[in-house]
Amino acid sequence: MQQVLIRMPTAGGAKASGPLLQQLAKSLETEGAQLASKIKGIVVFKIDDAEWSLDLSEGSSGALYEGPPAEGAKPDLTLTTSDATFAQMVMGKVNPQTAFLTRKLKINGSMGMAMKLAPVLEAAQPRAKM
Amino acid sequence: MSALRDLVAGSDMCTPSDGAGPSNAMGNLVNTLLGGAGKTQEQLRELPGVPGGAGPSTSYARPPPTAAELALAGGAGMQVPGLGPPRLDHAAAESFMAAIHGPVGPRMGAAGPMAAPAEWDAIFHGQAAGPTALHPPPGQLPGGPPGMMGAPPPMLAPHFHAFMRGALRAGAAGPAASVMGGPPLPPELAAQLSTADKVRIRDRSTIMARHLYADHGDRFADMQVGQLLASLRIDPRELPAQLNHAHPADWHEAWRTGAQAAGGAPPPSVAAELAAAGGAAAAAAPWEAIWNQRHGPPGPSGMMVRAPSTGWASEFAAQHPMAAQGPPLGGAAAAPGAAWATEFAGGAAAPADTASAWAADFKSEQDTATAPGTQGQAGRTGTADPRATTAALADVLSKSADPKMRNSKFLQFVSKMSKGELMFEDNKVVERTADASAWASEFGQQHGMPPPQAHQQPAQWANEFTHQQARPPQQDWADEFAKGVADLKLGEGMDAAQVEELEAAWRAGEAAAWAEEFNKGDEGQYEEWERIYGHGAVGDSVFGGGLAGMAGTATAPGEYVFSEANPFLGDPEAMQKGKDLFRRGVLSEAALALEAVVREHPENAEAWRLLGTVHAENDDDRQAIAAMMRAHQADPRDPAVLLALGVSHTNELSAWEATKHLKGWLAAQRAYAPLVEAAGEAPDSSQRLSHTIKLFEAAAATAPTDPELHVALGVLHHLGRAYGPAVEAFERALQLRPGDYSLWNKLGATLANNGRSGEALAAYQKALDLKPNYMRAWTNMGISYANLGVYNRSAAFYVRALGLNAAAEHVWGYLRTSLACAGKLELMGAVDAKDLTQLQAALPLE
Repeated sequence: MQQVLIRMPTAGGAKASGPLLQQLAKSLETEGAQLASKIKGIVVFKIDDAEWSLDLSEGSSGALYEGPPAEGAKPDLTLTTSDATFAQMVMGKVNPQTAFLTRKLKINGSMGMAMKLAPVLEAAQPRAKM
Repeated sequence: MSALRDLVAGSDMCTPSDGAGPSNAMGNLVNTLLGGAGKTQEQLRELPGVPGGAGPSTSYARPPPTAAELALAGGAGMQVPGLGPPRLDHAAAESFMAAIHGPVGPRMGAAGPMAAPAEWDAIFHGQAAGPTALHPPPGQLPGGPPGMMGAPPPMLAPHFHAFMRGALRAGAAGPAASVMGGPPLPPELAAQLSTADKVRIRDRSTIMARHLYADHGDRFADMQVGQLLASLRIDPRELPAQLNHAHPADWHEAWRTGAQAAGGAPPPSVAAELAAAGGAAAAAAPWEAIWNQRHGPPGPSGMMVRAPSTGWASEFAAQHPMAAQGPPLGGAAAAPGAAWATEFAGGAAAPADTASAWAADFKSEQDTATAPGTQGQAGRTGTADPRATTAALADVLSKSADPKMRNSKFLQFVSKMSKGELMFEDNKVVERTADASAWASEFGQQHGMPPPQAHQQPAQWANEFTHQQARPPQQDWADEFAKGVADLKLGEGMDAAQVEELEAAWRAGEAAAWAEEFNKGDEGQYEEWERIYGHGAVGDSVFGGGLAGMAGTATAPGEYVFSEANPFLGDPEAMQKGKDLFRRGVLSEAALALEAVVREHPENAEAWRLLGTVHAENDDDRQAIAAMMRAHQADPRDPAVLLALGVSHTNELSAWEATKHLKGWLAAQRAYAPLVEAAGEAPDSSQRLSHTIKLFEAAAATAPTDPELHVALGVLHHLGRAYGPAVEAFERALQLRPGDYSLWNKLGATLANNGRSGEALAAYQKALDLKPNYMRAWTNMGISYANLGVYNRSAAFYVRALGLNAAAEHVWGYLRTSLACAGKLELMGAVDAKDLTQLQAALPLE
């Protein structure tokens, strides 16, 4: 079991992606294993100047942490985008394919994995609280 | 009935053709918007309360409550989460009435259904400004002819709505007679009216009547008032020209007056609070009035609507002694509520022993209790508060089946009025840009904060709060670790609360149970341990277990974080003030007051529980959990606390904790404890949730009328992402308890998380109609609009939520998300600076 570490965005350089990544990390606690069974790999998000590693290796229960993948693991997919575009993709305003075609999103690595990202983005959406 | 419709619709038999009066102006506006009077009458046939009427308010459809449902729901009335299950007792019922109607208590209570029309009349005649001597024509005294009532009041609809509910219950009483105030009150009831009440009724009635009948002249208006007073057996000649209570006093003075007047009465019971919360919107009016009188209108923001002849102090005083008369809320606390429900619904499962005794004792209070439950609308309008009035009007309009009506600008206008965004000033509508925070900071000054902090803005305060929280994580970790080692509790890194809880459990002789729980719970604790250990090892500024909530906190999960600057510290009345602020929806201030209480009395379970509730309503589950855990420590079997913990942990997606507390909730109730014992533990931890859900379903089958049971079941389904059954459970609970704003929000959140954001909006709106300062519901509205792709509107709702609680870091983040999606990157600077004024100007909430 791997722990989930999130660096809180500081007040000055706060980002739209901050709470979304937090939500993603939280969702992993309950859906991590399920997502890992779909994605089967390590995804790195480079959002502006920050780098986040999402470990959804097969058999894991999912982990999200800041920085490059731990223990020198190689990312299967690297997504480079802006904070605003990341927020738009998560919120469903822009789909990743469109973002890619309009060069708002750069993809390195497994294209197949990039096509399966929808559930990951969905898991990052804000959830209503009771 | 058709005559009534005509009256409501403003048909020509009542409306003078010259159309000079203000009532006609409003009537014309309504007619214009609805496309003429004929159309209006069509709409009115759809009124809820008229059997067969009431369409869905938006895409989320609910059948209108039947009279029986309303009666049943009466048992719950206006539920306030955290204030406990429906422990409505005598005191509660009375103070509920006091809260909504002002200190008219006994009259309203005893008059029951008939009181509503009387109140209705009073509203229509009444809004106070100044004392006026009245000389009604003596010939028209008792119960003057209804036909004398001239022009139709402008906003009759909500009262008609309220009246219809009343009339359904009143049965034999002819509607026409009821509308006009009904038969005169029996003398013994009238005798219970205090002089102050009478003066208030007279003053309010006079002003309203003169306003309404402006085209008939003051004399005509005074005659109408005379008739009203006569019907209430009030002799105006006996009344003083003016009340001498605390008009210009500031809030503090008012408070003291209230406390003294209460004569050292014990603080209102939980149920009384609950009741008072129902009247919060109403009570907020005089509060603001006093504030404004002392400080003048704060710029263009806080335009005052009403003349403050309603003294808050006297209302408070009136409320306290009544609360004191009630029976203490002891072990049988749950019984009165149940008994009460039985009496009115004739079917609720009530523990017969205590219930019947109670019922006998308080049979005379039946009608008191009826009114809050079934005539919530009437009650709210009874304050002559424009906000409440418009809320009722909005309610009626929004239930109309006609989409044209529902989407009309008029409805939007009324809805905004009801939320306090628009206010009337000198017959003009003023958009109210004031944010609660500005008021709150001024309030802070008034509370005698030391000079260095006196001009602190809320944002600064929030910063300080944040700053205070941001202690070095290593330190925390070290403490935590040391604690773990010292206690030799296997170093699982639980927070202090949990450790103490376990110790308490152990001491209580539940060692075996504890061991079992520990074994079963090793997963959860392992995670916890890992989390904490991880933080320490990395030594970085990372989130604790909560991940949500406050900015950059590095405290251990479950640890309550106090704010530093607290003007309520050392205030002996902090508890009362905290409750009062909570009722009024000034949540952030209420949290401060309650923090002051628990700092002095860490064992005060009630204060911790309220504090937890306040944080939950402020959309901060992390703090809510921390506070609720302390309440849980102090009173491990309080069901309200266990349920709240279950809800908050569900929000935080902590399945293990949530299930544990919800099961604890079930086990803590005598009626269900045998079921829990019989069911035993889940065979393995992966089946814990489904096992618990089955247990709850079994319990629900035995007691289908327990709304809390449905709530808990809904929460469990939500936790298991079975949103369909969760929605059903919440809907069942809402049928039993339609006045519970937190329940509407739960339904909305469940719909939203199920991808039904459009339907969720209607449920949230309902919650906000019931509690306008419900910060969590505002935030949820923003989330739903974002999910619907309406990003501008979403951002506006986030800004509104932040106006209520600027310390909600995650909402700032959501706001950035919506602005990014809306392409409004130019506002990001204002977000960085947390400049709410600029954001409010840029993102008006239409």
